[in-house]
This record gives sequence, structure tokens and C-alpha cells, in this order.
Amino acid sequence: MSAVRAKNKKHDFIRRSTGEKVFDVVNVLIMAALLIFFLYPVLNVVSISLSNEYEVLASNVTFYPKGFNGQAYSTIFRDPDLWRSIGNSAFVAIVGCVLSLLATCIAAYPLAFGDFYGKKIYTMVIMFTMWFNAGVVPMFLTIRALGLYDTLWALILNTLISAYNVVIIRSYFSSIPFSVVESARIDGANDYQILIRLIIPLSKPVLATVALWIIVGHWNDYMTPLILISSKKNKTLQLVLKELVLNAETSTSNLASVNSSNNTGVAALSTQIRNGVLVVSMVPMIVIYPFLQKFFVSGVMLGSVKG
Amino acid sequence: MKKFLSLALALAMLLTSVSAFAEGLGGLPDKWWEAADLQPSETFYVEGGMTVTAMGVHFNQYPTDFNGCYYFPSIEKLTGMHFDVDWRTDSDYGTQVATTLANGVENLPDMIHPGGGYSQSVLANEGAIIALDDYLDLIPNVIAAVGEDRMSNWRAADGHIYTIPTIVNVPGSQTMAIRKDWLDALGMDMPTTWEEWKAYWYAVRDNDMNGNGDKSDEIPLVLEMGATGERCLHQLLNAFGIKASNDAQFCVLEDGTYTMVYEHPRYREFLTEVQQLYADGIIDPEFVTRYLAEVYPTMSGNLAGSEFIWAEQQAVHTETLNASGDEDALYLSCAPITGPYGDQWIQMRQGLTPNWCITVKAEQEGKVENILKFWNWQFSEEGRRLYNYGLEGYTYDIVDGVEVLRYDVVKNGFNDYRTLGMEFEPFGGDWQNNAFMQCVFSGKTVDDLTIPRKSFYDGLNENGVNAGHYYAMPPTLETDAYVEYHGELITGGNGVCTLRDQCIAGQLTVDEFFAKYEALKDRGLQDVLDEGNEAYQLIK
Amino acid sequence: MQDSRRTDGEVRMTGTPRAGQRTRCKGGFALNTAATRKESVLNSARARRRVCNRIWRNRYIYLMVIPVLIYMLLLKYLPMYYLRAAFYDYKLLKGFEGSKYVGFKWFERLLSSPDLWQYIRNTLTLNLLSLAIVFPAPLVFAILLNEVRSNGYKKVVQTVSYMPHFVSTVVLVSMINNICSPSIGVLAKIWKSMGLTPVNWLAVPDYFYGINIVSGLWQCIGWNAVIYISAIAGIDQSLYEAARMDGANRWKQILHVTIPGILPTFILLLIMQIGQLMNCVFDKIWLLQNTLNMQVSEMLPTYVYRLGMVSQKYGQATAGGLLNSVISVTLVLIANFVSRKVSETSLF
Repeated sequence: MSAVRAKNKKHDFIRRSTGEKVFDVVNVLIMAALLIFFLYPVLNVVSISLSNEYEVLASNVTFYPKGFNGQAYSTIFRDPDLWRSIGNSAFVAIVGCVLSLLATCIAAYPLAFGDFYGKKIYTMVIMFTMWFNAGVVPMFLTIRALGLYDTLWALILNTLISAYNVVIIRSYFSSIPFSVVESARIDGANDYQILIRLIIPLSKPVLATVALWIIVGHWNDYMTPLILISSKKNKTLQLVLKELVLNAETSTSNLASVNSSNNTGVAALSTQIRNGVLVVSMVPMIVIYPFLQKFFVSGVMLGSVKG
Repeated sequence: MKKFLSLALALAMLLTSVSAFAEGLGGLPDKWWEAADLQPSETFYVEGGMTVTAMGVHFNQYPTDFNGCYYFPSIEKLTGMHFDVDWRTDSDYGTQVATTLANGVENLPDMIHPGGGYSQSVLANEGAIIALDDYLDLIPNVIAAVGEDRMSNWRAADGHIYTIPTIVNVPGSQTMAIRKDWLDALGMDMPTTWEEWKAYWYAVRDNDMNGNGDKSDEIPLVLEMGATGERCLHQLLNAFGIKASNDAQFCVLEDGTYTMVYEHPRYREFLTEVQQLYADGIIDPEFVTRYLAEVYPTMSGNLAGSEFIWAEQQAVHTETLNASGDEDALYLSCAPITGPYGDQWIQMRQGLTPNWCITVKAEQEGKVENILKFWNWQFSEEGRRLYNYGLEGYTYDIVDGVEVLRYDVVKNGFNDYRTLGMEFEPFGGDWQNNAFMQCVFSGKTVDDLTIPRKSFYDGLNENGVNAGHYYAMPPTLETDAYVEYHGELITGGNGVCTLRDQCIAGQLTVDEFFAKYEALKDRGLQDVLDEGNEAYQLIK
Repeated sequence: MQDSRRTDGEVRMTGTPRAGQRTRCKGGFALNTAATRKESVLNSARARRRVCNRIWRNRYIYLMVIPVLIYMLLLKYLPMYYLRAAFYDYKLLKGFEGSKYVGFKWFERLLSSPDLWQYIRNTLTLNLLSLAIVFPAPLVFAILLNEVRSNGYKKVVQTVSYMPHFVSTVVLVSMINNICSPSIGVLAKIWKSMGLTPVNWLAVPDYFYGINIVSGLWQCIGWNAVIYISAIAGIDQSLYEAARMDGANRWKQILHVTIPGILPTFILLLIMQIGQLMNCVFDKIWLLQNTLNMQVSEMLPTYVYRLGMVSQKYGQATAGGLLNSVISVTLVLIANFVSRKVSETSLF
């Protein structure tokens, strides 16, 4: 973030007019209001997952836990499949992200820097897949035919290259001056080397953004693993979490007994689990953002406005 | 960030370890059933064994592994049948069935649960399952368990039998409940006529019953809205003598015609009265969004004067209110609402649910006979005992000729009972009232119960407040016309349910409702009515 | 995206070719030479050599293109064979051989409802409103966020802003139900304290779009702003310097440096969003629908789903998806064409 800091310093170099000062204050206030707007419901979710069951049933919980009851989390973390599924999801997310980024860059490079026969067809082939999606059943049959059924690689390969990401990355590549590529070609480098040594390091902001999308996409994906994974050892996080919620909901909508002392606990459990599951799912995603943020820095010779 | 992560992790570990460790469930050691010396059954045993694959919907807390509980290993020892079940979740089950079908006949399981849009009729149309009509002589026990009056629930709309049902011989577990302390505060008795009910509701509307200074927030009557928008104000329909199906759309008239509730002679009166009640503020202003999950906050939030809910919930919410300071709060089970003509009806729990369908794959491999003979065994004395009570000497004993479950099994109500694998409802069988009641009481007697819990018991036992008022719901027949027009003309943006609710909310007059309803008939609703009646006459 | 830097003809002819532009050199393609017959033989030989040269020069590009094409073929195009099911009464177990051909029956069924125009109108209203409000909001947010001085504050706000994205639709709708409930909701409490009577806002058609928009804003602003933030980060800092040297204040800097810098991204996303004009976020609409607001809340995708809900008609569902795709492509092509003429930025 040094470039940003440098920019801030330069701001101070010129005297700030009153208008600018007012703008700053207003901006901070707007951000604060937005902070509350975003945070309140999320805090509500966290609080419900931790509150005493009576308060949950009476819908009294606002943005802090009332009473303390960790039964949702103990139920979630006691699930034998949970930790394994977190590992599976992490594997798919990270390996999938790296491979996907690489493949998408390889797909986007010819569109941005290539001039070759069949370019129009190549463009159309990629674009067409953005709108025409065959659906769940054909996807299942294809994966099965390729022998990838019930493997984590099926999840990775299924969305390896997405046309949307190709468009975003290609648009960014196009803003890199062609002279960079040109001179590298003259120096004798082949396109793969140019891509890996030159273009990718220059594209950190867009790659970080797309990486975030891919990681979150894999992490939150419920439908694809539902269809493509069948054995317990390959289950991903969202499958396990959904089962937990469903089991809690069905066992509380059924009868308990007339005398069981922990019935109220059971009655509130499904709501608490539904919220707790959200928290468990959300925390890793929030944590990765700071790691990716350091890639959001200005490149050295970029600009989409003609200088 | 890292600190936060590690803290969270530590907290999670702590919570996990601090929570009560489940010592041997039911007082039994691990894998306790392996020690039991089970001999092959005399009534049914397959020499050499047979493996049956199946795909079904799992719910509740039953174990999903073959060796996770006594049930499936015991079945194998007793009958030689090895059931290899692929348990799936209810969510998106339709898509899961679709992919299974798309995989071709060779990969079909031998048995499959209908569900998720793939009902029996749809599966039959797909050519995936076989009709059992020709095999009925193999399953006399099943037929006996179903009983004469439930036969029409067993057949699909095209008249054939496709499934092995699961039977639940327990009374309904939903009941009408009323705020007893509010009744007392108003000096009223338990309402037994329509006028008395209305008097109570108007009084709740006019007074500040919950003492928070606001007269307007109490809701006199809270009734659940079904998830599809069809099942609405069901209990009031019953009060007018309209004995509706589960989705509150179909009923059987006096002369035996099967038709939609809107054709019932009393429906116009019902609609007019409810419209008036809504205008008076008696009907819940949020009735269109009052899904089941939204009913409970009105109870715990001290807002509901009377409601129709799962019997257990009134005890739960009484306790919640007591715990938060309102010592006198009490929800009490009561008899169904008495209508203007004296009708008092409450729907009986649907005792028969379609469970397993047998696929063409099983037919190809010649397994059908043995599978059906197994299910016949399942509904025999021996099968019932295994399903309801477990293994003698371990989970139950026979006392005076009656099965008595051990205290350790039922002390936590249904929780441990089911986790141990008993009453494995997704797999299906014949759930007995005796076993049900033992779990409900978990070792106590009626006199041991607190008042809210006694009220809970009252609400659901066949001799309680609802005795004599149960009626068997007519089925919702999925004829071709129903499948074709259901989405658009019943639940759609201009469908009959939308019209109904607009009328209740006062946006349409009753005459306008019926005019538009007639217009819908021309668009296809008449076909639904005609085909429905035809099918019903066939199957009843 | 076409290069936003327009070059004049002179540069194109003599200088380094810009990314993506064709080189025009003497001789051109063998296909459209205007040479006389006498020279044609000589020209075609020369042309063939040029063609081979061009392919050889681009050999590594082809080495990139081919694996991508193989992937696309195997995993995206092969499954499209099943889109044929839209014209059949497709039985999953029996496959195409065992299923009856029904032609355009499913499409006719979809388009035959007398209420169709009402549903289309609902869909368009919601989407156009969204386009006007929810779509530009992340851009504005990103710009405002960029102007925040304190780095720490900026990071906190940004991280918090995209938390709502992870809240599942089911939980979101239950939150909305809680907030808007006239009996237990926060809004109702505020209304009462002001002396007004609360209304069941979720059941009033007039408020449906509003509730949708506000919850959409809550869900999307932070997440969708990420791309704009990264685009802003990619703007050359020297441009800001140059602007400052020219005496521009902060507002002018935003207007002349930041906005043009992210405009191409914005337009790209806009074009793709226009493709979704007849679509909707299914889960949220489905859960927010109720009988009293359905006059305005029934959209095309929910209507299509309803037709097949009771029995999974695979052919019907495929037809619905196909129709949606065709409409999306048409809309995108139109938007792309307009955008190319007006702003020189386009998808292709």
C-alpha cells in the first residue's frame, strides 16, 4: 500500500480547501453509516447463534448475544465429517484457484495480444459458453463419462475456465501497452514466457480480484458437490453444513417428549444452528481478504487512459 | 487476524470438549448388537443372502452408516437381506433423482424414494418403477397394516399401487391451543361455540392483554400458512365443516364427489365471514407470510391469543414465557374451533406415507419377490418388534405380554430412541402407538407432568381434547390436469390462492372472487376438477 | 474490449500494431486480391507463404489456444448436446431414443399464458430499477472508499462491506421477514414510536420492489465493489500527479482520472448485466413471494419454475433455460453494438 500512502502524502502537499474538508467528514460519516448498515444483520446472526434459547425463541436478540449458549457450535464441531470437509473445501478452493487463474490467463492472452487466424472463432467459442449452459444433468453425465465422478478434481475442472473471468482478465490485459509484448517478442521470448514473466506480474490487481471470486465461488458452492460427490470422504463443507441444518430442523419439528428437560434447547437449536453454520462458513472468507489486499497495488506502467 | 483465528479455534475446541459427553447411548456399550445372538427368522429367510441397493431421503438423527446402529445388521442376520442405502438430503432431492435416472437403468438402485417433484406417478411415467398390483398376494401383512380406510391414500392417481408405505399409527400431533391466563383475565370460560370464540377474539383485540401498554399488538388467532401459499386458515375451513386435504385445496362432498374446496356449498359463507373477520382485525394481518417459523415468535413474544400448532410447541412457549418473567402465562390445548353450524374438526395425522418404490432394475435382476416378501416380514409381528423396540434384553423387555422399552432408551424422549436406530422412519415400517407413548412419557406417568407438559399430552393423545373430532384427510390426487395446471392456476400470480387471499384481505369482493374463479375454470381448472373426481371414484 | 486508445490510420499502417488489430500489409489475403489473372499465380504463391509465416509466427499462441479449445469442447460443448431435450418430452431414463419428439410444444406452453406480459413487465421493472440503483452503487462506493484518508478505516469498511455477500438467501429472507414484520419487527417499532400504524409491508405490492432493491444493495455493494477497487488500484499514479500539476482539486481528479479509469470495466459489466434483463435472482424472489404481492412479484423464471414444479418435466425446464439464453444473447449483442458505437468499449 506504499503507493497509496505516497498518494496521500501528496494530497497534503496541496492545501485542502474547505470544500474538501467537508467532503472528507461527510465521507467518513457515510462510511460509518454503511458500516452499521452492513454490520448489524451480521452481528445479529452471530448473536443468535450464541444466545440463550429462551431469548432466541422470543426473538429478543439484537446485535449482542443474550445469555450464552454454545450448543449450536458444539453440535457443529462434533460432527465427524466437518473437519475433513473443511480440508476438502480448502483443497478445491486453493488448488482450483491457482489452476483456474493460470488457465484463464492462458485463455485470455491470445485474445489480448494475439493476431492469428481463427481469432474470431476462438472469441465466439468462449463467449458462447457464457450464456448457453447445458445444465446439471448433462454436466453430471459428462463428468461421469470422463471418469471423474466422486473426485475433488471434478469440482476443480468443472469451472476451470469461465467466460466471465476470461473477459475481465482480457480487458485488463488490453490495457497493458502492446509495446511491452512487442519488445519481448523481439528479444526472442515466446508467448508463454511473456505471459508468465511479464504479463502476470503486471496484472496483480485483476488476478487478486478474480482469485477472490474463484475461491469464494468454490467455498460457497453447494449444488455442484451435491451432484458430483457421493462418498463421505470427499464431501465439501457446504454439504456437511446443510445436512446439519436439515437434521436439526427435522428433529425439532418432530416430537420430543412431554417431560424432557432440555426440550427448549432442542426447539431453538435449529435456528441457532442455521446461524452458526453461516458464521462457520463466513469466517475463513473474511480472513483471506487481507491476504489478497496487498495485491491491489498500482502497477508501474498501467493506465487505460491514453497518457 | 491470526490472533482472532486462533482464538476462535480455541473457543471451538473448548465448546466441543465442555459439552456433555454422550456416555454409552441408552446405557449400552458400543456395537452392542453384535453380541446379540440372532437366529435366522422362521417366517422369512433368504439362503445365501441378498443385497438390495436403495436411494432415499434421510432426515432426523438416525445414523446413516450400515454399522451405525443395530437395525440393518440385525435385519441381515434375521432375514439374510443386506440393505445398502444411499442416503440423500431432502434439499434438491429432485435434482439428485434426475441425475440418477439419467445414468441409465444399469445404475438404478433396486428401491427408490419418490420425492422432490418425482412423485410415484412421475417415476412411473419415466418408466423407472414397477406397479405392485400383480404382487399383492405377497404382501398380506402390508395390506392389513394399511387398512380399508387408508386404501385410497395408498393408490396413485392412476389407480395403481407403486409403493411400500410407511405407517404411523399415532394420533395427530397438532392441536388448537389458547391462552388460558388471558381467558381467566377476561373472566371467560373455554369457548365451545362459534359465538364464544368470536367473543374471546374480539376481547383480545380490544384489550391490552400482554400488559405492555399497547392495545393493538395482540393477535387473536394465529394460523399457519403453508410454504406454497395453498394451505391457509385450514382450521377455520374445518370449523365451517369443510374437511379439506392437507393443502386445503380438495375435499369430498356429501354425495361422494371429489372436488376443490371452492365448490363446497359452505365456501361462500366461509369466505364472507373470514373477510369480515379480517376487516375487524381478528384474522392475523400477516396471515399470508405467517409460515410455521413465524408462528413461534408470536407465541414466545406474548402476542398470540389462540393458535393451531404442534402440540409440543405450546409447552415450549409457555416455559419460555415463564422463564422470561411472565409467571402466569399458560398455553392450553383445547378442542378444535366450533363453527357456526357446530362443526368441530381436526385433521388426523396422515398415517400412510408412500415410502419405497421398486425399480425396473430390481425387476430385471429378479429381486422383486424377495424384496416384497421382506416387506411382508417387516409388517409382521417380528419385523414390528425389531422396528419399534429393538432387541429383547437389550433395549426392551416383555412384561405381561407387552413390550416395555428400557428407561435408558426413552429417558430423553425420542432423541436417544432414534439415535439408537429405532423407529427408523426413513427406512419405513409400522410405528406403534405403544412405543410412541412410552417415548412421549419417558418413564414418567401423567401425574408427574407439569401443567404445560400435561397440556401437551392432552393435545395429542386420542383420548384428549381432540377425541372424536379427527377426520381423515382426502388425498391430493396428481392427475395429469393437476400437474399441468397446478403451478399457474392454483399457486400462480393469478391463481385461485392469490384470489382467495386478495378477497380475504378485502381487495376483492366475494362476488368478484367467484367470477374470477369461474374464469379460471375455463383456462383449465375445470379439467382438474373433472379428472380429480374420476380418479377418486376409481381408487376409493 | 477494443483498445480505448484510438489510433489514426497513419500509425496503423507504419507503426507497431495495437493489440488485437489486424496488420494490413501489401498483398493482403489471397481471397480478395484484385490482381489480374496473369499475376494471380504468382500472388497466390506469395500469399500462401505469408499465410504459413503468419501461422508459424503465432505458433505459441496456437499452443495456448488449442488446450483451451479442448477444455471448452469437452466440458462445455459436449454437454450442450443435451439441449436438444427442449424439443422432446424427454424421459431421463430412456434417453432420446425412448422419448417423444414434440417440437416447439414446450415453448408454446411457456409463451401461452394470458398473464405472460404481466410477468415480463414485472421482470423488466425490477431489473431496470436494479440497473438504475443497485448496479451503479458499488461504483460510487468504490470511489468514495478510495477517497478515505485513513488506511485502517478503509480496510475495515471494505472487509465489513462484503460480509453480507456470504449470508445465504434463506437467512437473508428470514432477516427481511423479521425486520418488516408489523408485529415483532424493528421497522414496526419505529413506526409505532412515531405514532403511525405499521402495515404488513411484505404483503403490499407497492413495497415489493423497494424491499428487493434495499436488500439487494445490502447484499451486493461491498462484493461488487471489489472489482472497481482493483480497477482503481490499477490506475497509473502518474496520471494523478499530472492532474494535480494542472491544478485539479480532488473532485476534478475523480472526474477526470478515476472515473475514466474504471469506465471500461463499468461498461463491460453493464453490457453483461443487460443480458440478465429478463432473468432474476431466483431464490430470493421465490422466498419473498406471497399471495398478496404476487401480482408484482411473479417473474419469468419463477413462472417457468412453477410450470414444472409438481412434476419434473426435463424437456420443459430445458426449453425454459434455452429461451432465457437466447434472450440474453440477443440483449447482449444489442448492448454490445450500441456500446461499440457510443463508447468504443465493447465485449467483442
